[in-house]
Amino acid sequence: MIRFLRQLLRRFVGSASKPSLPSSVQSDELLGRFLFSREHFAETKGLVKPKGFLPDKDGETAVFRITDLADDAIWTIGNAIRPEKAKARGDVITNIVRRANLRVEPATQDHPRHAVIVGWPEPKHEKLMLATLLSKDATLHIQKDFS
Amino acid sequence: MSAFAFPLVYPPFTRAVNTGSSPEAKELEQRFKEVVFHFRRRVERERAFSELARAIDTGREEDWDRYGGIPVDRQVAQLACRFLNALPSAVPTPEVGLDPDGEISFDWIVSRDRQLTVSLSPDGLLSYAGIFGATSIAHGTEGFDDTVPQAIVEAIRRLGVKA
Repeated sequence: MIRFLRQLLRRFVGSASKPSLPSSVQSDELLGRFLFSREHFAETKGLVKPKGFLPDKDGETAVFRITDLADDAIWTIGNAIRPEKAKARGDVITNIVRRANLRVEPATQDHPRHAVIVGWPEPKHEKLMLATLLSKDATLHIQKDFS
Repeated sequence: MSAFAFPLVYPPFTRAVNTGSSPEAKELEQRFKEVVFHFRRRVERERAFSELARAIDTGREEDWDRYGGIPVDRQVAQLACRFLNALPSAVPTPEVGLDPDGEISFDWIVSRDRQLTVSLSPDGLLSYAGIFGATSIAHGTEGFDDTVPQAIVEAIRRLGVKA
């Protein structure tokens, strides 16, 4: 019974907080981008808008390494990193990001699964183009109790 | 001479098709389609202005997207209004939103591989990027001087959507 509970805990909580992840992000790893604003996704069309992937003022797009996590465990992260819960998230494979000539770097200061997409070009139209390519291949997930 | 008289309460949608075959009936059908078309387009434009108002409201605060989003400034909000008004009538109405850098964006989304985004900066620069099927992309920058640049109209046309 104890072993079962430990396994359950590891599945939903433990794996989110104590990951055994490679130090560098692998090409087949799934990255989750949590979305807190309705501006960033089109629920009726089932896609993350390009602006959902645009970098912040430091030139970084924050993502989480979510390969091997159950859906509940992923939302546990999304609901804990900001004062309010994430409304949705966009999942994209690391390889897609790299094909757009962007880099994915671990940024584990705040969370062991945190990473950032960097290497964005300076001109806005080039950023938009790369974000559109990520949007094309990303999968939108809406949090159950949001919509 | 033919006349068209409405009863006091006219149910215009009692039939899905025009059963009249005379030239007058065909002309009437064409005019009715034009009225519906103009009405729909007007409603769509009103929807876009509502979305713009909502985006401006959302963008009042710092960190509106919880990733350090920059607030929208008054200048870009006014320009965005002018951009919507400048859209040619034959161009479909975009979805209006907000970029993390505080620019107002206009999205034409047909599907994940047919979409175009145009972002408007406070100094009137239009940055656009679009994907038109599996292999075709376009992006660039144009100035906005109360006329929608031809490159952007052409990009919208390439999406294959009608107004």
